[in-house]
Amino acid sequence: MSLHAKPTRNRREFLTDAFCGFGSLAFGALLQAEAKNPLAAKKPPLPAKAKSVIFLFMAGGPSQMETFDPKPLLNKLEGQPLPASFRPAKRQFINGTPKLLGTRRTFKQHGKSGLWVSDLLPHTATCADDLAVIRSCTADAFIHSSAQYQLFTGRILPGFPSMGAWSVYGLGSESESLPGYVVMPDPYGTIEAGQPVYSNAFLPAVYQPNIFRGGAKPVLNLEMPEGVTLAQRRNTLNFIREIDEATMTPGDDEFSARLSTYDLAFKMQTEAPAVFDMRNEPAHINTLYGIGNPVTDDFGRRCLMARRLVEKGVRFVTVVSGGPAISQWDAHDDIEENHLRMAARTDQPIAALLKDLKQRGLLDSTLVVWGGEFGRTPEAQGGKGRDHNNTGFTMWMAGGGVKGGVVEGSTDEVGLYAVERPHHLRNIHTTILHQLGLDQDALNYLHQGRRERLTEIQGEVIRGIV
Amino acid sequence: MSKLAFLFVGLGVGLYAQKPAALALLETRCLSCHNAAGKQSGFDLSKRETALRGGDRGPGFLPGRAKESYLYQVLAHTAKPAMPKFGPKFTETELALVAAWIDEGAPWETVVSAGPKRSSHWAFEKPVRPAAGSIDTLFAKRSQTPASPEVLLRRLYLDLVGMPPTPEEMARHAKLTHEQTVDALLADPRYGERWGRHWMDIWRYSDWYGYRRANEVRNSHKHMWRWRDWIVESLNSGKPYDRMILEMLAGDEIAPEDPATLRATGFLARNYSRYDRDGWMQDAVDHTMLGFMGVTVKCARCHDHKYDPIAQEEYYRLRAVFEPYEVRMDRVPGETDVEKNALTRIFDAGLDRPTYLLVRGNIKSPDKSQVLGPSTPAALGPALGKIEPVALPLGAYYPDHREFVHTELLAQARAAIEKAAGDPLALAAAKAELPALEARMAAERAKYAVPADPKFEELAAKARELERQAGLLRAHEKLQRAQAEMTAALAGEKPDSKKVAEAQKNLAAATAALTQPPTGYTPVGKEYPTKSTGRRTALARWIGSTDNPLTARVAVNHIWLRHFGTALVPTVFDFGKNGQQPVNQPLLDLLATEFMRSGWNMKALHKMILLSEAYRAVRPASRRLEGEVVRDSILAVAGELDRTMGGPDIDPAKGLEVRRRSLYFSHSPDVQMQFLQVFDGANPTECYERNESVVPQQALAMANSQLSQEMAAKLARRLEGPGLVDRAFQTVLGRLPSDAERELAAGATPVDLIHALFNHNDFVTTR
Repeated sequence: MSLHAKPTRNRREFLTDAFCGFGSLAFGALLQAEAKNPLAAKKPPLPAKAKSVIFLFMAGGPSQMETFDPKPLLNKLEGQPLPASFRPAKRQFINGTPKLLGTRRTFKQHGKSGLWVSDLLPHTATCADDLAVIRSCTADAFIHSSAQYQLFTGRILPGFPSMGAWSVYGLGSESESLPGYVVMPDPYGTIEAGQPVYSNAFLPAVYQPNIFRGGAKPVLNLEMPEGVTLAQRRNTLNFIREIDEATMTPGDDEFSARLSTYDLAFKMQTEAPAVFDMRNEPAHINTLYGIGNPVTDDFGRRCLMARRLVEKGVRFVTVVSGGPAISQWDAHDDIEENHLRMAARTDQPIAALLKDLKQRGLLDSTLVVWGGEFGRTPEAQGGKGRDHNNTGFTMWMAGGGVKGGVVEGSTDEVGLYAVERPHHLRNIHTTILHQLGLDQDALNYLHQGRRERLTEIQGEVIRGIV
Repeated sequence: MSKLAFLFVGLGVGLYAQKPAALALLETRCLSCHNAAGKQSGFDLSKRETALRGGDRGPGFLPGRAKESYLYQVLAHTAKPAMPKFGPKFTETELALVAAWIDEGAPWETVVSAGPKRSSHWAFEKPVRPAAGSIDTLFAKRSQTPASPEVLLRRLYLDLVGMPPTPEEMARHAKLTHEQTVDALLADPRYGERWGRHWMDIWRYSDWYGYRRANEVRNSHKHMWRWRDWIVESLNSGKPYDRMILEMLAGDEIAPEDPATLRATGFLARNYSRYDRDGWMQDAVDHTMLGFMGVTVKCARCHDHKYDPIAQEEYYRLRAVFEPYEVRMDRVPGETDVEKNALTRIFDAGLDRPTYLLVRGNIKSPDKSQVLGPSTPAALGPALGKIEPVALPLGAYYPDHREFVHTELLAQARAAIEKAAGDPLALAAAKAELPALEARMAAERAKYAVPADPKFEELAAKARELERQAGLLRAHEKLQRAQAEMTAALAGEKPDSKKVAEAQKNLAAATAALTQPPTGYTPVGKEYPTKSTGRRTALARWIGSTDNPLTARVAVNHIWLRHFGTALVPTVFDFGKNGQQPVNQPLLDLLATEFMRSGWNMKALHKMILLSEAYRAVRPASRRLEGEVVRDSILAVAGELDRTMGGPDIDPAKGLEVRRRSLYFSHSPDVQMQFLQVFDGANPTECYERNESVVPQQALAMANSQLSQEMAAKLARRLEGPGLVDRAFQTVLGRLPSDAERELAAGATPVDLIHALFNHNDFVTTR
């Protein structure tokens, strides 16, 4: 028979295509059980530790030497060129023979675990026993946009889905009234790589990021139009339904699917604004996040929103610290000035987020990831600044089944190259997927004849921290 | 009986080869590194003799003695390095297969040679017109009940012009035959806009994107809208498809001085990537082949194609066609600043740029033993025609030498004089710059005069001298300004170190300029190579050849998909062996051969499809419209659509106040209109087919967006008066209400009614 007996791409066909691509995919089988709503929550194919991820993206690349990776030798060698016994550095902007730059920060051990954290992050330090600090991260690119692409999508080029889109593709969303994948950019502006780093790329559009706008109405069209009450809207929707049903052809799946989206939309409209409305948060929570203090207010609000979202089952939330140019962690001119400024905005809210998640019992099921697209050089740029360094830098994870108070891997004695157990970004991705109960191979999507996946090349789970 | 397990490799139509399972395993798991070109560790597994010989670490394996074979040991992790380097260790079963195969003596190649030759694949054979038959005889199984005239008219309008008919248009068409209506709509300029957007999807239209804060173009290019306008105009004028391919790939070679044609090369300019020439080249190769021929040549970037007969070397020979090209912006009349407005176009810049095979697709490991010349994959059609270099006319290789550019530059210089009034030093410089410019132009005209102008030397000397004088005056002016800046920078309590440094730099530059000896006069603009390689022309003619088995089929498949909602070959970008079989090859081939026979006439093809009973029949289900159609339709039915055609792309943030059609708004990975995104807007990186999701965000956009609210109110005001309900249904849904609907509608306010009709399934779908 002709496949054109039904000359439309109806909803079911679309869903089949969306999940199975052309032909059948390994992952398709996992999804047979739930083929109705592409965003419906799915059981993870592997044992999962985390249900949600909060990615705290420190755009521009925070310095490992000023945060979690103490290098006493670096301070001793300050003002000298990198000794010949070290592997020379790759640099983007530093010219000539640079001199090593010691840190002005003081490091102390914190918590029962004795984890080293610098005085740049006094609040985060109080959560030391929850952190798994990965000191041996590596990436392929040392310019912002390529490195940001790799951090978010696994590739240094545009055109591939971000980890948030992959996660929702793999697991759907636990919330019917909220988007599954949310990005909260820094109000200072778009990061260097631009918004495509967050995108669903070739994954179907239902996995696209919902990029929150600033302010009390973060999602477009979700708020009732001016002057319309909820009851009026319910009436309108009833009217739409009635008038639609008057001509509905039996068996038109597209039609019935559209009708049901109006019910879902109404549910979103009635429930989501309550999630976005943070006025009912008690004063001590606001204080904890630094809301009300002009320095921490913005990032604090976004961290609190992240908690409220994962509480309601949102799968992946990205909170960005840093926009373009000097509004990010890109401390070329003056590491002290830059990092004190950036840390002041983020440190307290981040610690608050960890504590708040913990006190609500959410930290066990929420994987929090912190880091930038690369770290910074031990060598000085222009006397006081540090250039980009993708050969050894620090990220941390907390919650979501990750061990607390541990350090994974190390860099050399000046913090330039990862030496012990280096972890390429693809290991970070593999570990995130692993904690969510997803397998890097099975989570694939047939795109132009190739089964694309987040990690591209086989990554490893960072066994030292899980 | 052999202990060996065999694997039947089914590709495309049937089984054609049988190879040892172990060999197949090694191929998939090892060959990507250990191949003839890559030879990691000197080891090449692509042939039995090289595999036996082994690599830097010794012989590969000893036939009959698996356990002693190095290959086996590294796989079993009993010897180092443990293999495969990437990917999981071989399982016990897999290891057993490999061991058994080596013990058997490691038989190679096909054990049973059977099946058709590798290149035999339906899509790589030329389409043959079915002996008998029309669309309807070949497509007989579906419903033949004709749709009602109003459903059909609405379908045609949405399909061909991208918005529903107005009540007036409905009345007019009621008097016409179906064929007359089809002809009228194909002649409607809105057809080019509607179908232009389809082809913009397939051809990856994107406005520039990159670092918007710094206005830095990193991908695609400024002024891409000219290419969009070319698409719309070409479709409206009925330009043959093969001609469109030729203009897009090689407009600069076939019409080097025609700005209208040059716009077409936006197709290739769009691949521009500021920091990644390799990625740029990949996009040019991959998407040219995906878009026009539906083959995934990109798989052959790192290794021979796993499904289709495309060798890795052939991939790079295809790349050699594109290797010389780059993008530039030529001045257009009325604007001397190319950043503001210009003709973005391609040209061959690096005529001798070599192309090498990149081992494992890695730009860092070119195989420099051989420079690969341009050609096309042998299995995909006829041989590439002769490549003939093109000698370019002066206006093409020296665009600023054109009359209008000179005129405008002179006007600019005169304006600079007026602007400098009141600043003696600046005025002196500006006054000297005008005659210097005139002298440079005169010298350039003499230089390029045919026959040669004997006064050239004299004019050149004059130009040099006048330019030197003007340069000195300008340097004085700059010196004074820099000094003033310096004084200002140092003046405050805390001198701004950045401003001081900047002033110092300017001061030094100005001082240096004063003492620089003159070397020659500066040409009026940039000169480009005087020849183009002709490679892209040859490629375009090869793609657009009636002997090419793929081009017409791929195009008609795209067109069919957009008329019916399903494609004849479901994998629209992959007609290769890994793609899906056509669901109706005779029909596909009928359309393809007719398309070519008509001289690649798209409108004729549309007409053939639209006149068929298949197209006119009742459809069992509705199909969602694209976001562009939804937005345009809302504006159109409200009577608010601004029908102005063409021009620079518009900021999507102005989508509400600027009521132009949706295709005229900027569309790039950075910037898209949110309303369109909600309805699965085209992915600007690639969109061979739109998704058609049904999600609550669409309901929210229709119910709550300012657009639908405002337009409902506008339309309600316009329709006020008796008979509003009927007219509202007619205007929004193209039909009268049923009695039940009329009764329902009677209770609603006009705005609510229209708002509800915007949210009606029939408004956002076609049936």
